[in-house]
Amino acid sequence: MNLTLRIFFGIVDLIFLLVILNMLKKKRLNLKYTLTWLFAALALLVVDCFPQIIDGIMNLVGVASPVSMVFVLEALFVLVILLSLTAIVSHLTERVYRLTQTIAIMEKKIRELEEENNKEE
Amino acid sequence: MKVLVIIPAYNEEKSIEKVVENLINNYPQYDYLIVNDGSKDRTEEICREKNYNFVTLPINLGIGGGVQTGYMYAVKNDYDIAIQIDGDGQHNPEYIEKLIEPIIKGEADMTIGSRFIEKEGFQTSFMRRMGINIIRGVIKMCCGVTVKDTTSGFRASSKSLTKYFSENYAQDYPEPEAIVTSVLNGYSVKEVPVVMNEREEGVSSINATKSVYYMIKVSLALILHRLGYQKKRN
Repeated sequence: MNLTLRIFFGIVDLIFLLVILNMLKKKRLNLKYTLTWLFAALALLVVDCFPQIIDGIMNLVGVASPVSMVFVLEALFVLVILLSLTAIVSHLTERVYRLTQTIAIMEKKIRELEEENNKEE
Repeated sequence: MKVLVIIPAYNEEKSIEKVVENLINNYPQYDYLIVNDGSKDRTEEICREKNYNFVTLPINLGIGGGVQTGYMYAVKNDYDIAIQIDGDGQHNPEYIEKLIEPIIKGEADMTIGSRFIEKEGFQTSFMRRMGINIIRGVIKMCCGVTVKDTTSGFRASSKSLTKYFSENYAQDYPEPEAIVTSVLNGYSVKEVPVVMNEREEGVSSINATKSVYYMIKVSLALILHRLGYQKKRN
């Protein structure tokens, strides 16, 4: 990987990290769900600083150019992040279902109590 | 025997009154609960005006989440048997007695009202019958039980199965999945012949474009249940 490209990747990665940290600071992101993003950004930064790692993995998996290898790595991170997002959404959906059902049953109870109350008065 | 009839209703303003009045007037021995699944029409207003026994979901969850609410209510209020009938008048409450008989006798945990055993009454379209047959094959493959009317929403469950359903119930197209989870978890399933009416109002929740998605999703869900079960056993 030539130096220009490394500097470019480094700057983009740093901006990305700063944006994440800033959003975290403003509490627009939940740290729990942002860890994967932070990890991905840090890993790419490490690779950018030590391109020997890229060369090593390249030979291992048979990718021809370092730039492609960086893209492959990024794509893998995106896949992991997307999958974890789907898992989070599934979990949330289940919870919303439970809440909705509980609210519905409670609303019925309240309605009945109100009616009873009105009768007594 | 405390029996609860759960009536899931999504946009059933035209038929809900008829279904419920029929139950109240002719079958007072059964309690009923309407689950208004976030309807956009006057279903909820009708329930309020008529002072029906109903719960209303603030957002639309779909048939699975709706029926499950009914099961939760049944558990909370200690019902012995929970029955599910459609809010569109397809299912005749006349058959409830036959439907709950095997459960009362302890012969089955779940009974399904089937229109294909005696082949009387409304039999639905050729394409849907084909889909139902394919699902029948997948269910047979997954848990070794033959159920003829796999998508019938006219069913009854025993107290312990109702408890199980209140905690685990498939959300999107729950009818076939409920059969497989019941059998895999040791509950017995039995079909009871019934005669169904053609719906008078409203449209089926499954249209032509959705049916391919439905088939793939249901088959996959059934197979996944089977795989998940094997894992637990090993």
